Amino acid sequence: MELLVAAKSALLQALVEGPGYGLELIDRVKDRTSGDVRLGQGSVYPALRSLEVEGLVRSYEGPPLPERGGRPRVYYELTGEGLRAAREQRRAAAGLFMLTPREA
Amino acid sequence: MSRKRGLSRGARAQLKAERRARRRQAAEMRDQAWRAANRWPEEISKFLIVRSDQSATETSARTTQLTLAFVDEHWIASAITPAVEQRAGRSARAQRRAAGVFELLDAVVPRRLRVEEIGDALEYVNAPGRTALQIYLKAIATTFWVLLNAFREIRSSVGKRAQE
Repeated sequence: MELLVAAKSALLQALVEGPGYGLELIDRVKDRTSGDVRLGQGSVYPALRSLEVEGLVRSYEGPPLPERGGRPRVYYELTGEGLRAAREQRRAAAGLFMLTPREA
Repeated sequence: MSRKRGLSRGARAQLKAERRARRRQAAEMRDQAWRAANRWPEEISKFLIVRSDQSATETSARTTQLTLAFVDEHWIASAITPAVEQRAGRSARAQRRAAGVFELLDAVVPRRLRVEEIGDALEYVNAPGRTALQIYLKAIATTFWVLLNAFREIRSSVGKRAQE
């Protein structure tokens, strides 16, 4: 069964580990949830752009890569505000699902 | 209801972890077998590592066994090589076609989508081990989402301008 998790929440939590680009973030979420949460191509990029507009993440381009046809990767990282939002979200989710701090 | 659905979340996670550990162990065994075989370069052509999947009834999990089978080296060349080459050829053709589709998309979408979404899709299709079907599906999905996201971006920028 696929879990119902908003793409923006999943991406915020994935970015707590460090910067990443679209494909990598999709894999990161999949790995962290043992495949229970799979983000689709259609939801990831609009969610990342929306998070950037909200000021929770910032993006930067890496060097051009041949396997991308000379295009650079677009990396995302959390801003200070984004990190705060991710922590608050984690606390709220832990309360919602009645987890002990250790489980969260 | 399937047996998997009846399990609790913790039990499912444990099953998954066990399955991953078994796969890792099988991969290590395979590597060891290859390393051992490579010590005897003359014999390597006469042996083929055969992988077979079996179901263990007590856990319903699949286990992998490795067997060294004696085979005729000419049979390997005549039977396996063309099949592998054919598959690689199909994937390479699919990669070229996908790249062609992405080139067309490049011309009509904003730079951000070109660099990010089409770049990620190209990276996906150019990764080793992708089958032709995976590549075609990715090309179709990318075309759909890139065009939709381009439309959304254009619409939102027009909306912003109208508000100003």
